[in-house]
Amino acid sequence: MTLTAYLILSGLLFAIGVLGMIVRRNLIVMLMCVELMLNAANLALAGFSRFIPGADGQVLAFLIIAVAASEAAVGLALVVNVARTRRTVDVDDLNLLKG
Amino acid sequence: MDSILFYILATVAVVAAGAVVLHRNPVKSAFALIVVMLALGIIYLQLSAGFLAIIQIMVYAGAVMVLFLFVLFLLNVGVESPFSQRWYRRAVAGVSGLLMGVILAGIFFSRGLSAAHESAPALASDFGNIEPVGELLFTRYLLPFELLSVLLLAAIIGAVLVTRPIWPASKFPKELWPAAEGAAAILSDGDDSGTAPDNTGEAAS
Repeated sequence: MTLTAYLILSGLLFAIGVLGMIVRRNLIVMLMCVELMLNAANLALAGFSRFIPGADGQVLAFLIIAVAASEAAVGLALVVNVARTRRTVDVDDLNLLKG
Repeated sequence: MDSILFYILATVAVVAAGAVVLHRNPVKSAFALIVVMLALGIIYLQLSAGFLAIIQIMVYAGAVMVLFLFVLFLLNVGVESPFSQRWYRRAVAGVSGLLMGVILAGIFFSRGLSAAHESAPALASDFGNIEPVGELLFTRYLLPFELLSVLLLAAIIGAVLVTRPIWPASKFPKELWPAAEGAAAILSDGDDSGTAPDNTGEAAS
């Protein structure tokens, strides 16, 4: 396999994540799409780490996984609070700040 | 053999990622995302990043997705109504998807980035194992590693604080945030309207 193949897969996954972020209205699914994008970045890093030998890319991928875990925890906490106060997780209904 | 496995895994990952976006039931989206992460884990093995593959499956497919499913079940999120009825959002999605595809293709097929690394070089036998990766993590990347532990601690505390039940307006310390009663009344949609007027009366006098 070539590096380009891995990068294309990574780019496809990232683009799908961006599309989901824009198209979906459920806050939790939007967070899942963020996770998808972070996974795509990790795949690119692992690919570079294999084809330009060196474990640095893998270390960076670990750091990204940890950041993604904390992001998911805080984001889901916010979603729980939003659902508790507004009784919805639909972003179209969260328009309190709309003029 | 190697490339056949890769194509199978890549197809699984892309189809499952499409299911994450297209499925209207968030629980099914979550399970599709687990499939994506498992496929990526096997691809990491193929890239001889064994430790990364284990961490991917343990942390992502295990911990993070369980957290997502837990919140989905906790909030009892139902099936989403059809895609956004707002035409401009669909237009933005289409245009941005197209643009992103063009940009990524331009980057990946530009000479210099990947042309010089088309063939996989030979690796040391322990490449991607715990030992070399851990050594790098505790020498060259020690500072980011330690900062990350602080970040995780902050995330834990933040998540616990944010998910705490909202304080009733009568118990909110006024010296911290004088406008608390008004905000709590708006946020709770008049649920505890019994206590709010008393406090505003107190504040006024």
